[in-house]
Amino acid sequence: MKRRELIQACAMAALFPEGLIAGNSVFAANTGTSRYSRFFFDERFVDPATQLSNVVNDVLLVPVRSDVTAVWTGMLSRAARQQSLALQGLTTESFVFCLQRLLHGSHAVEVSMQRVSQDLYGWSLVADHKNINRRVA
Amino acid sequence: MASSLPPGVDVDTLNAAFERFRRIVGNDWVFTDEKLSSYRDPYTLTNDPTEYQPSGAVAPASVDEVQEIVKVANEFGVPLWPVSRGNNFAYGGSAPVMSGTVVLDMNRMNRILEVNEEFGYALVEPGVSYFDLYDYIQARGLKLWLDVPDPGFGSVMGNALDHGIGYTPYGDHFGMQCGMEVCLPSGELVRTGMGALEGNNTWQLFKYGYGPYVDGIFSQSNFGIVTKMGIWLMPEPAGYRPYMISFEREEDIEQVAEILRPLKVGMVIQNAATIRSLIIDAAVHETKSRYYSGTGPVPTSVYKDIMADQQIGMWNFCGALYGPPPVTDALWSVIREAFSRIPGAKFYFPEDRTREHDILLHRAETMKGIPKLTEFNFLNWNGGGGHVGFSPVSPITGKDAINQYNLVNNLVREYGFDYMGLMAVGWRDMHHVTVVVYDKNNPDEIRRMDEVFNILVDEAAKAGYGEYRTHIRYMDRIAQTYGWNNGSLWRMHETIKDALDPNGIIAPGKSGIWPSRYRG
Repeated sequence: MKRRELIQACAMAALFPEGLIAGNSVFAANTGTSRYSRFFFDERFVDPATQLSNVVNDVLLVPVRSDVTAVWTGMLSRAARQQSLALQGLTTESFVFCLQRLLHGSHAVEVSMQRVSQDLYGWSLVADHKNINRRVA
Repeated sequence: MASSLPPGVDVDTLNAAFERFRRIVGNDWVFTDEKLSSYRDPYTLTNDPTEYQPSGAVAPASVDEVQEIVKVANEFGVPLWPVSRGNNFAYGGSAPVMSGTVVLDMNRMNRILEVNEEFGYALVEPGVSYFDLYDYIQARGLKLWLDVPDPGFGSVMGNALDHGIGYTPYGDHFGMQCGMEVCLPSGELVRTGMGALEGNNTWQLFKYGYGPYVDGIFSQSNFGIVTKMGIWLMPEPAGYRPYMISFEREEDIEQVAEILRPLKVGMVIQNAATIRSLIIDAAVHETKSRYYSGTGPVPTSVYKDIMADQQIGMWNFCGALYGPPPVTDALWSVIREAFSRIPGAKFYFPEDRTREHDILLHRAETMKGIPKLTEFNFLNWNGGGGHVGFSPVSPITGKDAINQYNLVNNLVREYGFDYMGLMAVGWRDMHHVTVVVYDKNNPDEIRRMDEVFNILVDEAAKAGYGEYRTHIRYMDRIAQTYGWNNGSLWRMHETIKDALDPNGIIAPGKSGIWPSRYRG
């Protein structure tokens, strides 16, 4: 890690106390056994070891950097075709916005979101599958 | 129960229309009240919550259903706002110009009807996204490339109809369109060009057919609902070589444009290349807080730090070479020699870049037609997420480039925003696409944004620059700037509108074109 990135990570660590997840209403459901399958965090601003320690064990922590493209084409697109999704994150705004729009065509999407710093938003997203018949010829 | 009513339509009439829509598409595909959130402009430019609000949305799955919906809309006088995927977010998303208009959401019409590898074209419905078409081509191993705009989740058809641009040699999307099927406001279907000839085999091969060429009147318009469209696709080239040339000083844009013009007009520069500015490129991979903790635009004294950190310049020319290596090598030698005349110019291929998250590595994918959403990263620059595009057109000249830059840069900085612009190079023109990023939850920023946008439109028009595309909020204003001969062009649009759509049910106010029913 470069010195500048280290300083930035330390500054962000100070911004987010360990209780961020447990104390944030957006993540209220994330206690005990979670209904959420994945938790996305922006690796530039969030240290999972100290700041996401309250995320329950069965949730997959996924590091990202704003861009949803790789996450969508690599895992979520296929999953979204077959099932409903429940996801959470601590990311920049565009990440969850794009995710929401990608799911819009095939799912009824509900998002709770709260800004937690200049750059970051905490969010929970539930996308119920509409079972659209994709009629690709 | 409707959220807001179209002018002249009472609540009982609107609810009766919704009931008929439900009979056509089913209960699950008519949306009202709290289910309308995704049809509102997510990046609103007004603090008035009554503006740009749809009364409902209806999502057909077939052309037959579109026709039936249009007939019901005529019967009840309910206006419709057609969207293909509704992801045109710098310009209003799915939201209508006129509150109360019902969104006609064609997301479900997502069939890829044909992809022809031999001739290089696709025939698609409105709901087909760039991701969809790309996946289809990849899954079948077809030797074809897409041309994509920055938002890969957008509609192939919708982007072309709104005169969107991409970055390969096929970057003029409406120029690559060939053949349409259109549902007229009466509900009648027409096919344009060769599509009108029964049994033809050239609908996607020859644009013009016989008689007047009408496809253009269905772009950026409200004269009909396009339900199918042909789009030409580029054969996979024998070689591909993306590159970036960076320039250190603000004033270099003048010389860059002068050098660029003969190279582009002479087709040495093959693709729809872009000259991107410092902050927009920096914002793709970092946020402002990395470089500057104050409010307002980043001080120019910080620019050098950003350039050094991201290995970019004040201006970054992103282009690509397509073809067999002997051809691309020859083109590159001409391009490199030409731009070497600018002091401090730096030349890069992808292998020269050292950052893992890098602007050229990202643009290299876009310039080969891989759909992405990476450019949305720049909305996070200030953390607030809102953005709007101001997009005046100019000739490719140094004088125009520096004039445009100074005009926009000075004004947006005066109003507290960073200049985040790029100049997209067309066949003979430049689209100066400036994105103003603001905090969508901050009413004061929204007010300032709106104020500066209106000034930009006026100042650009005074200098002879018109926007090629705009947000729903500014459609009337931009239309007024195209006022030669006492506004004769828009009067002609109104004449066509009234003839094709006497009840004024398709997209009132789109591009500043209003039906007689709503004109003052």
